[in-house]
Amino acid sequence: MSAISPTLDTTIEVPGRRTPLVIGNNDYNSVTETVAGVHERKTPLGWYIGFGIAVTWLAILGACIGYLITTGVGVWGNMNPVFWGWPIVNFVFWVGIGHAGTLISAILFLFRQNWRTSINRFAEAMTIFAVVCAGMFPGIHIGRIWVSYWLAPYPNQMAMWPQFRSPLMWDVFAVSTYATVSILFWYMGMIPDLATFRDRAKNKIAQGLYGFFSLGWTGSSRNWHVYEKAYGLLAALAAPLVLSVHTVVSFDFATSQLPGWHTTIFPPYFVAGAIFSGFGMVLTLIIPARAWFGLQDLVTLRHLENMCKVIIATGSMVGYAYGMEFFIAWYSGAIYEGFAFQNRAFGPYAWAYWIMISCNVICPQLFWIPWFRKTPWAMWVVSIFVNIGMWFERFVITVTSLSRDFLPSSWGYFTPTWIDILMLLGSFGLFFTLFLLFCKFLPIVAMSEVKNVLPHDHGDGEDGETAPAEYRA
Amino acid sequence: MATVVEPDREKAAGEPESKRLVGVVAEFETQDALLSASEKVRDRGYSRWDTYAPFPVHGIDEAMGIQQSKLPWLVLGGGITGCTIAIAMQSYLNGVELGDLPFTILSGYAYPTSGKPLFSLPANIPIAFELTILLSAFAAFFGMLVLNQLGRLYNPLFKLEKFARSTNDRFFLGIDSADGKFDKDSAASMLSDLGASSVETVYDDESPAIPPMFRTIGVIVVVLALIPPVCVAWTRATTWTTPRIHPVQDMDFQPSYKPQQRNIFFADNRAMRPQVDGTVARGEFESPEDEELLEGTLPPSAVEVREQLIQFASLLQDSSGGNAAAAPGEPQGNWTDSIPVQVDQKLMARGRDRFDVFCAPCHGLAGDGNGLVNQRALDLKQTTWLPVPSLHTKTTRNRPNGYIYHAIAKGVRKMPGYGTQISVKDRWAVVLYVRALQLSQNAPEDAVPADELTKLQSDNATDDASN
Repeated sequence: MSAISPTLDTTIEVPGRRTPLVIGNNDYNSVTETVAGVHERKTPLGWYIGFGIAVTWLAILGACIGYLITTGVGVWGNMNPVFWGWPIVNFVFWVGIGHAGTLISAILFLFRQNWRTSINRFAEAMTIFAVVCAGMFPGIHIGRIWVSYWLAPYPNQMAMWPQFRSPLMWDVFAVSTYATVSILFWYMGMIPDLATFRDRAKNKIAQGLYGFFSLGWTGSSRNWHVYEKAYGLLAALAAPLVLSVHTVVSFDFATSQLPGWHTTIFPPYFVAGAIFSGFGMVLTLIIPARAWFGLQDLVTLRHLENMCKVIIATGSMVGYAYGMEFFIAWYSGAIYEGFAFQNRAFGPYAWAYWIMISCNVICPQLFWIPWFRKTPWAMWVVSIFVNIGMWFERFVITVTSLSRDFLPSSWGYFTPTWIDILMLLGSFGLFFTLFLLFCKFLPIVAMSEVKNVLPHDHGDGEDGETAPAEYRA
Repeated sequence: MATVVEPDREKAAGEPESKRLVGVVAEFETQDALLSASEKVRDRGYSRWDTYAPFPVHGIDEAMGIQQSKLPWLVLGGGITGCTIAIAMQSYLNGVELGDLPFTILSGYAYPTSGKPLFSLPANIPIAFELTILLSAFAAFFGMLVLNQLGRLYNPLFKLEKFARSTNDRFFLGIDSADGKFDKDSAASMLSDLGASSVETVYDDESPAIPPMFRTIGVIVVVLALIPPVCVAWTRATTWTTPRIHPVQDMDFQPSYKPQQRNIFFADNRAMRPQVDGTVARGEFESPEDEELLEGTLPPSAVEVREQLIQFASLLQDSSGGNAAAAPGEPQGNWTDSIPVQVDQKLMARGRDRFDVFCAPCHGLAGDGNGLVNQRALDLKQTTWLPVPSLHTKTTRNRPNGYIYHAIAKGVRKMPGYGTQISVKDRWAVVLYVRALQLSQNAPEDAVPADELTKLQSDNATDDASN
């Protein structure tokens, strides 16, 4: 592992200078050593403890799903009039988290934001694991899970086809496409790094597995040429895809006629919220990971600061959307719409609403203060609040609108059961199980891409003193 | 799967005769050295050669003379295929019902939804978009694998110990023995002249035969894989006299109660429950006044009910009876002609206020059907736009108050209902104001005050003169 140079402050803006993306005395080999070292060093005890906790929660999730399937969806708190309870809240929460990964890997790539190279692998992995958690919830929410294949348009003796005009059907296509393309993008980006692992592998099994998944990659320039083309095209495809996915998720709500859901602001508002929550989760994960795995030279303070800035921007968009919803509810003169929003802010779920407002609108504004953007533990605390706030946003949207609709005789109050709570925590178990496995066995930083943004004359034998003097504290 | 073969270093170094010569590989320490060497090799006219780097080196495409990849065209093809499949699939599966035609297994299932056309493109766009992206992404990924010939897990280059650094921090240039200009010694000396830190010759084994054990395993796997389809085919081709197995109960045996069934849970043993005391069913009114106020209709008298029943019975007997078909969208009702709220100047002012907010955008401030929305729609030549009728036509003037009230609350023809935005009392206020507007355009001469009448007549005279 290379030495960390705390004297280099990359958060300073120097006009006319490109801020170095990698600090410390890093060369190609040391980048490889740093990243592969995470995989090759003796696994720290903390990893085993974390993995043990995560797997325990995963087992609890498995048990809950078994109980749910054998008993029925009545084990949840979903009850008249709130039939879309926590399962859908959790689905939207997780699928939203996924969005930051694709945003970092695809949209920042298209905008040539090279700082993405240090965090994109991490964020993409987060995307995939979040989509796994997300996809699970509607899967088990359909009730008769054993006929879930009816969602697919396949020839059958019933001559029954899916209703393609339904936004729930669009959701099936959007989320499964998103999962597939994200996995392709992630895996393709990883092929050169898997080849590095293959070439460093010490035992036959590791050599065989990394060799198999790196598909015989040699680093040939003719291959790199096609590979870069394919990567750019996948990025260009993933960018509109990520915007479409949460748009389609918002259609689940917006195309219904329920007050509080039936609004045209939903697609952009959901997308902004998704990116907001996703960046919150990236920070939550990467701040401890860079400390534990010694990645401070690759994931510099400036990377974290950039993410904080994205959080301010998207958090403000989300705040604007909350305000605009109220304005439209009043301006439309529609009494049901007006009631839905009064009910949100001051009704029986006011507690959830104000948790959402304080976590999503007020909390990220702290990042205007430079100290918060430059202090990892403070960022981490804010990012936790962002995660909590975004879960509550989905809760508020789903539950307040459903619990009090047009007919006061059918109003109710949603109460989760302990299965609801265990399954939400269990989904975190699933997420962290996959994530810890990823940290242990796969390259957590895109080595080949980081090497590409190292200073050009920064090869072997040099001492790496290429960072301009202005950045020295 | 056999993947990376452990390099057999001693033999490779010893150049044994039985091995196939693959080529010559040179190592470079920096990317600049690789770039300048590449330019030289390109200029010497070699065609089958390649360079190897841990990341895509800037400028290497030009230095090596690599042609633009065909990949974007593959991706375009994938995208077009995805979009076409999605649109064809959705329109066929949801919009067409072919019934007894051949290939019934793939006949569509026409879904009429909310009165929309069977093929409605806007609703098909999300899935078309997703499939376009999906197939394009497959084309990009698998096209990359195919064009790069990836997936060949064995490569003779892996036998070179030094070559492992090609994925870490070193740069390599290899010339293939299949190149027309290839000569082992001259290539090697050229590469070391170009600044290579080391040059090595690569040899390969003849590809070994598949071990017999793998063949046996392969045959067993294929045979086992055939069992499920054979079972399925067999069950489909046979008939059964016993009822089908219900591994999952689904909704085949439902515990719900049917009408008129007995249910011992309740004291009266009836599964159907009577109305709870003190509740009002939807659409049921407590008094006739309520119906007049809330719906604008009057409850039918006993005679009218009898007449309706007779008319209905005659319709049932004579299905060809022509007069029964009312114009679509025309609400039928026993309309009231009174205004069941207190009529005063305040109500009129309120009616004008609400009319200007909700009605005037289409109907115009004077109710002549020429509001701004109407003008804009006609300007844009909107084919789906139904021109807004004037409120001053004889038909509209002769409509009962209840009809106009109902139109405001529930809508009529293409006009949506405004019931959610305009309260009950305000609706009657708007009815009152509409009546006032109508009177303003169609008043008999004696209803106009004398001074106003003279003024109007003189205005008309001026208009005529100016024309």
